[in-house]
Amino acid sequence: MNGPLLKVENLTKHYPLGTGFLRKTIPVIRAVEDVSFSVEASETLCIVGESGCGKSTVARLLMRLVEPTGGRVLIDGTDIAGLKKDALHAWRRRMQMVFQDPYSSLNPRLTAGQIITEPVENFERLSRKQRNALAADLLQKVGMSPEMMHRLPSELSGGQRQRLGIARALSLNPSLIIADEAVSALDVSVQAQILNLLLDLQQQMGIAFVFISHDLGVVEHIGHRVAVMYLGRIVELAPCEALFANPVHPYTEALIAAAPLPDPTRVRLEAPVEGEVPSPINPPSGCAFHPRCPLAVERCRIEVPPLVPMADGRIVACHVRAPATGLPVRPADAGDHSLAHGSIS
Amino acid sequence: MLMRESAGDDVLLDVRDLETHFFGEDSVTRALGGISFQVKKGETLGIVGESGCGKSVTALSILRLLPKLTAKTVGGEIRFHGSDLLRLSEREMRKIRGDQIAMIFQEPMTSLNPVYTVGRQIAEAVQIHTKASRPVAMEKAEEMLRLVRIADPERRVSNYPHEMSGGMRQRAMIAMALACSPELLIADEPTTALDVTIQAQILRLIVDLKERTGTAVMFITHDLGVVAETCQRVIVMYAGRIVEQANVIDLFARPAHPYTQGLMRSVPDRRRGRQRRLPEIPGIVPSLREPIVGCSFAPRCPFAIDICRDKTPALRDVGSSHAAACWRAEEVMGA
Repeated sequence: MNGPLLKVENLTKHYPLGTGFLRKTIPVIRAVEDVSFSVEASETLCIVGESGCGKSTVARLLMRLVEPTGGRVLIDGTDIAGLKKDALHAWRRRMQMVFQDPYSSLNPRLTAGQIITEPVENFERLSRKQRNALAADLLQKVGMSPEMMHRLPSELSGGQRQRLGIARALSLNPSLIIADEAVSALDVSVQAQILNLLLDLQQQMGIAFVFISHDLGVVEHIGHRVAVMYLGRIVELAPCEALFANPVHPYTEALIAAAPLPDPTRVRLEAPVEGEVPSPINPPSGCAFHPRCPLAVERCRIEVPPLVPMADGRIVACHVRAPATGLPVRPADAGDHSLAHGSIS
Repeated sequence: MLMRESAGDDVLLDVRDLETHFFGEDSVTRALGGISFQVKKGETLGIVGESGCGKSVTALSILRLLPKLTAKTVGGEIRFHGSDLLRLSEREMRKIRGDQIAMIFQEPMTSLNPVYTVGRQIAEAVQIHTKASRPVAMEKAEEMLRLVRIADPERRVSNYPHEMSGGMRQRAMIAMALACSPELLIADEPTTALDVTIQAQILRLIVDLKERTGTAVMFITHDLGVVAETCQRVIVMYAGRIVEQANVIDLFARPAHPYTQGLMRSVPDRRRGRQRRLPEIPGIVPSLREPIVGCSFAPRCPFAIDICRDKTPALRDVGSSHAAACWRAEEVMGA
């Protein structure tokens, strides 16, 4: 199969607020607005952003857990919106999801073995022997001992539960796993174990990940490419190293600068970006970031900036840093740009 | 007033052998296994550790806010201005809480009263502790909201908590906590529920206000990045005990306890390269329901030798104002 594994085109999701009875216009929450990206096999695409930026809605749209207002999701070139029963069923084998909270996403009455083999049993009947062999195999893949298959979720630690969630996702040999804040609820030492597991699985099985997270350290560690979202839109999409070394969009820059680093000798020069994320019900006109942006000009208040391709392969939506006409402007002082600082000059 | 010889003039809070247990139906969880530390006047002391290490229990034990039916501080003392907080009556304790020692929590929504305006709640705290009249207290509330940099404080004093964003609610909580100019502010994961750009604003605010008011801050967090950015001295906790204590520069430069070292190495760090396997701490935290023989970290520790499994190491000096509870701290620091 040529072309990307997953292709997302102009994906949009609006949630209506209430019904329109006796009202001419229904206010909507613009959760996701015109989002496009693609994911290649064995690639990790990270989506970062703060609460309300739409990253979890994107995950649900990809899994077809909610229906889009507009746009398409193509897997191996097939539009998943058009899929009916059997085809949809078959397609679900290719994409699986791992959730944030390993406590609420596992059925407390099933044993570990039952939990991780359940997806397969949706497709084929398994004998007891087959089921046990599959469970043992999956548990070993996620670094757990096969004896654990008889345990209930309540008898497992948080890290072990998250391993179960991953084993369950692996059971159908998916090509793509959507991980929505999959390590956010874990302590750092356990988080390291799970991140290592994800890296190993990708290397051994060639799985692609859409990894949704608010934690920039984690994203930088495991991502190949990163999409930064703000208020429903992608504002920058770039190769991981380039994004962190040299953020172009002022929001990306602010986000990186705001993340605390475990280094007490770092001196913070820049003041943190001001203000808060506005409401997606009534987003600011033009560029949604303009009320908080130190670089905003008149045009930012009026026009939504388009995503403009830059020389190094990234795309950026910013009138100032990536003007649509003329040559893209590279941020100044790229020379002495320390990795730890994303100063807004 | 009792004067004690060892505590210097600059010590604000002196915790000694604090032991807190949780009582289940048929088990006792030793949440705090006898911890001792001091908070100095005007300093920011970080307490770090992972879930269940006892960092929040420490805060709740100090303020005597533990759930009454299931938890009890069974030993130790907490010296504050010459008296032992554990021996005060509930009435005396109430005078200290919110006045001399204030606390802010992770989720401001659950600690603010939803049926009163934010201004009224701050004013109430002021009235209780200063006997000010309502109009004076309301003025103080507005001044406090301005201090924590809430835009438009004249209008915001009459907001209810649900009319504010998460970041603004946390600012309001801080305003309330600082309204009576406490000598000690205990902040339990105050930015954990916030987005990073808002977290950066709140951290900056806490550091700025600490410098302006001279309030000592006890900063409880699981996030080493937050510790590095805000604290002067750090206590690392594991399984209900203090395993290391140092000033922040030394702690990050030369961690002396294998747990601290493991914790630091397991955080993704751009300086050590991307896409690489992270050093893991194998195994899991021990159950505090069973008595632990030897060092509680020994089963997970790459440095463990026989003595570690037999005898619990005490916190001992390994450098100037740097202490670790590890038999092999010197080797750990060299590794």
